[in-house]
Amino acid sequence: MARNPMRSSAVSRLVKRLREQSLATAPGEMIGSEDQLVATYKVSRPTLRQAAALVSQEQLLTVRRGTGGGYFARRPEVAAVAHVAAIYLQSRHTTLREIITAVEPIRVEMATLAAQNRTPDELDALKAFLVRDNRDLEVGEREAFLRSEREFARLIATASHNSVLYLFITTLHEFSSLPRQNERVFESAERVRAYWSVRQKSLVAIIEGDAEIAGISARRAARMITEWLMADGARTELKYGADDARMPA
Amino acid sequence: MSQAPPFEGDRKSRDKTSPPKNKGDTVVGRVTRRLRAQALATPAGALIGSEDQLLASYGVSRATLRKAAALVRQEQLIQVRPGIGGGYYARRPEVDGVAHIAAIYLQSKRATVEEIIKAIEPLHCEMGMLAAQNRNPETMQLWRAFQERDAQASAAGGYRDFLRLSREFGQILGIACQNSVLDLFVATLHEVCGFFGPEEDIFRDRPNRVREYWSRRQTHVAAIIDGDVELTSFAARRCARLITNWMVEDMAVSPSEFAPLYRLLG
Repeated sequence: MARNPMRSSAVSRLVKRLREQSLATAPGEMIGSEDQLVATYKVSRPTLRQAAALVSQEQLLTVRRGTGGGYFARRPEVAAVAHVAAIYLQSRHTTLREIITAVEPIRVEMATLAAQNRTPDELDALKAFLVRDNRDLEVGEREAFLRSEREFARLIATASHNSVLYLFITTLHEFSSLPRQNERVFESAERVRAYWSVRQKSLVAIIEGDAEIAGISARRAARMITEWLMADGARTELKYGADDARMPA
Repeated sequence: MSQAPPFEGDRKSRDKTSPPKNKGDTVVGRVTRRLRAQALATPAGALIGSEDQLLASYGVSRATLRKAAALVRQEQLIQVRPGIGGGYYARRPEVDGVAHIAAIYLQSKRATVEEIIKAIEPLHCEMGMLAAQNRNPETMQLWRAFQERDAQASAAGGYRDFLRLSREFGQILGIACQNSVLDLFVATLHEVCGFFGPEEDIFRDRPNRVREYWSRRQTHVAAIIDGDVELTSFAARRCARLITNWMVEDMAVSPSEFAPLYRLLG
């Protein structure tokens, strides 16, 4: 954290070592007791505690006091990281427009990568999904569409095998109003049909392993949503989490 | 390649390490939300209240308030100062701090260099296209001044100047694209790249690469200044491809065999 106040180099060296040790230890396993770590690292107790506080903030460490206590390895959860990022974006008064603009290239890249990286198991899941989805598309019912849209997002995120894009899209989903806005866009049956059939092209291309068509179709589908959202006047600032707005100040 | 976990966009399950916003009914959850809202409504650096004042206004125990404060502190929205004149102060998260936490997460997920590159390319491209559409006179002024400095330095072709101007380019692009989401995501990926050691620096002691990349980037900057969205998109992709190719060359591996990030961090 470059902009934080200067820390003693003993602490920052220790942070690195603790981080490495935690990453090398299975989550939930003990790294060592405080006394053991003071001895191993040959540092003072306050130095160890300062370093431990920083690594805990990175969610790589849990410190338990008392008998049987000590330092335990832990892994950051995507939800917790996305939460911190979403709070940051809210503090920057991020608008829905900014979010949508960022979602677009991520979706396109995920579709492209899914066409390249899907495993045989994932391919089977995508094919099964296509069969079900074709039946639903025939009927064109809105609820079925919204369900299939969520499942599609999950399948693509998994098949793209990119934890970076996955983290980013999860962060954007932290804004609970985004899915709701997305669903409001699909109020008319014409929009549902128009979007659904373009998305279907992307899905077929992913199954066929045609990365370019998958990307182009995904871009076209994402553009549709962007244009509708903008036409509907979605230029408001986002509120993070539904409950916050109702909280008395 | 790391295995992406099942998609959690609909957030059905959260374990106890997750943020407490779903524990809507608990006292700590309510105090957390209230404290967060108050912090966001207070100017950065200003006092929200002393601990005693907040205890009285929320009507909760000290232990509850401190639990909530620990969570809001992790979100970097408050600073707690002990002693006389102490209390809870409003603060705003820094992009560096948030990017750092995200970068650590990616490291723990064994994200590979390939994943980073694949993510950075479309984001950079999108930022460039947005920047090309931003015709704000002040931003244009920033770009023109940068272009001039960049042209002078590139004539000499110094490595340090190249690195400095690369950083500057990233900063101006972040401002010009007017998108805090893309800015945060790219900052995260740059933070991850900061974990790489000098032996992974594809430009070190490679003046030919520096020269080639530099001139490609100048085309990129010129396209942004011209407001040519299509050319900007192409130029951004071309810059990203150069970097990918050189990384592949240096590691003498195929793109699908990039080392997991954690092995580079040692």
